Amino acid sequence: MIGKFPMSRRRFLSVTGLTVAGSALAACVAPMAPAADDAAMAPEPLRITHWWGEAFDNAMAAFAEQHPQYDVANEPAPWDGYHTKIPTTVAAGTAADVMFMNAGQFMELLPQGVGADLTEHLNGDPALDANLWAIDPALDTGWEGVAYGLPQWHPDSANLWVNKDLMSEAGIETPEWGHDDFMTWNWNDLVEATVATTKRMDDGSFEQWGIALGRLHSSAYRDMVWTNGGEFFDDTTHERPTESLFTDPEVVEAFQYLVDFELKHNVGTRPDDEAVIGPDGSYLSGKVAITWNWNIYGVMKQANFDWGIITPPFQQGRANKYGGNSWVVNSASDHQDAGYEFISWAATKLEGQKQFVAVGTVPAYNPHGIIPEAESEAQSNVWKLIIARQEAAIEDGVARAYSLGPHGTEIEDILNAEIALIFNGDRSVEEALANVKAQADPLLG
Amino acid sequence: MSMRLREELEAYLFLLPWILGFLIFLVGPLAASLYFSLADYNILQPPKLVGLANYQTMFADDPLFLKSLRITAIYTFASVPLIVTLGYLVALLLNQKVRGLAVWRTIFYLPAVVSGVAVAVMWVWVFDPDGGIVNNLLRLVGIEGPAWFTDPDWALTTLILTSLWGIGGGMVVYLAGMQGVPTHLYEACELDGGGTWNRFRHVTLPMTTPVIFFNLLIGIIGSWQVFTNAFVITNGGPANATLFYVLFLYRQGWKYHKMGYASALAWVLFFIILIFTIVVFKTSGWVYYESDQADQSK
Repeated sequence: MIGKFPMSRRRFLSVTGLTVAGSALAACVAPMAPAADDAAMAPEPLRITHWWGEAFDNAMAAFAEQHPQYDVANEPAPWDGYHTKIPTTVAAGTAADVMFMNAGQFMELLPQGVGADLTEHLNGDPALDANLWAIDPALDTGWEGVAYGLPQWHPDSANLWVNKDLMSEAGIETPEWGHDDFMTWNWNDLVEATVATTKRMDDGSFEQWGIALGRLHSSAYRDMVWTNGGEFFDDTTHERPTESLFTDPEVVEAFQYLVDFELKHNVGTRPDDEAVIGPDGSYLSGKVAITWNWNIYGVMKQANFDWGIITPPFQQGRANKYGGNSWVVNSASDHQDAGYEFISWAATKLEGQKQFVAVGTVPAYNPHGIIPEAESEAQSNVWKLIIARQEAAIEDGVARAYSLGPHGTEIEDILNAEIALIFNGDRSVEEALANVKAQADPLLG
Repeated sequence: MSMRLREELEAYLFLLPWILGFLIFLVGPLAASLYFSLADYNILQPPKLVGLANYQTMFADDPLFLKSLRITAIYTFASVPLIVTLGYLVALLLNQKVRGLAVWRTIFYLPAVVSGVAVAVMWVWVFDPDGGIVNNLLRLVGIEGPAWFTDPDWALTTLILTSLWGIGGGMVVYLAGMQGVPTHLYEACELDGGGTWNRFRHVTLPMTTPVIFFNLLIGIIGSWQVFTNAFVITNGGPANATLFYVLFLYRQGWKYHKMGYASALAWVLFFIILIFTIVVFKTSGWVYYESDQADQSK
């Protein structure tokens, strides 16, 4: 006697085989990009995409109100997936007319012809004074000397946000804007400050950290390499490098300096510390003396201690980056003039700049012009430091492209993997950077 | 038109939506990915045929390809036996006649229907070295737990442990199989003097081997395609310690825009899964098919 629903070997294998084949084949199918909105209607449509979510709502509404000739479609997309969305929508012919991009994106996408050449628009704009750019757009958001976009914000690298209460308690002066050492304080000064402000319990655990570095903030190692006279590639624009320079002594020394905060001086927060409270949170907790971070003025307003901002320490040159969040007009757009009008309004007109400065930092165009708009002296000092730092970097000839080039994303992944092995004790800095060079060089040239 | 021809046409008409969907959304992308795998294709420029160069790069010049293969293989050989075994044991427990059985079954199955991303975020908190429940429990017995997800030596092990969360899906299939075992076999076993162990060893286990086989096969295929936890929790790190094959493939295609290379990786994955499937089928002599036995006894 057999069961109610007997399963023969043949039937079972057939059913299982079909299931298996379906599952395996499904692995090879990729999700498709979403379809675009319907075709144009008067007034002239203008689609703008970015990853800043609701933060840009007011700016978009203000532009639409001041420009009724355009039907503005604000199309924010989440940061997760934004890097994928731009190329897929461009390939599908459904990309927005104006796209917000960061340094990594435009260095990878502009060589592929994604952005419209803005040379004629810039030359034909009577309201623009080319000398007022913090740095030439052809460098900041360009490729081989051609401007393909307009930077929204000043190219400020990360700076050091300081808990002045903890610094004073340790007897360390904070070299803020206006201090004699503002532009001259050096690597040794930073080590001295972090050591002096670190406190431990009897069992060796931290009561207070000298610095939260995010285990080598991406801006920190750039600043340190450049100020130490090092370069990442044989092409300082990072546009067409043929060889990486990760094993140069200046580069190795800069990385070693940063690694030593955790491994030698034992003054930095660990990833496990930051996984719970985050670099910003650890700073707001009042238990970290110095945080190396982007412009976190908005966060700092919540701090219940006296805070300040200082530049990263200098070694040979006062270094800074260029390349930041920028507006790019889609080269395939039928509304390029409208697109330029929007990006020009956002980046260079005071009424547009004021909308965006509320969520970011100093405008890239005529940055000094926004200073009177600061809501406080503290914000004004932050802005002055950012501007002064870039001007000093240009003066010293050490303003460099933030993106590590057309293969920057892949090279950063390689670098981050090796950095993790340094902190894990599996690699020395020299070994790690030699491995980075060995993996990065085949991508170049 | 004859009745037979008319019926055939009607049948094809009703089948047409599925056939079109199959051709457009499965066969079409498959053919495209095979073509892209032989090309240098970055999405934004037309693909340029490069022959087998992508496959050559994979095996000769890309250490991360081999690393991702090794990591995924370790995950497969560690997690699949665990999931298959634990899922089976839980199903055995839930196959007993106890109070509130439906509630217990629901509880054990619930994880299988919870969003993978939400679960991944939960694991971050559970395994947090300082405030996580796991290390806090270990501290109670005097053990200082590791940095589960941020230590390269522990990250993969931790992801294997988190995979046990999904045993509920297989458990339901086991349970269905166990409930399909004819009761007269248990009665016969008891009449022969068989106790609990013998009923399990000589009735339940052999009668459910087809279900075990099915879960084993699906588990192997699923383990080679694992992505969500590695993407959300560790993003392949630290130091590529959790760079699973599909995450590696995703990075190549969507992060570095090397769609041709990613397509080649996808086809290699297809053949890896195919080989595993063939091996599992070829070694499936331990699976008991009741009707085959019935046929032989006729």
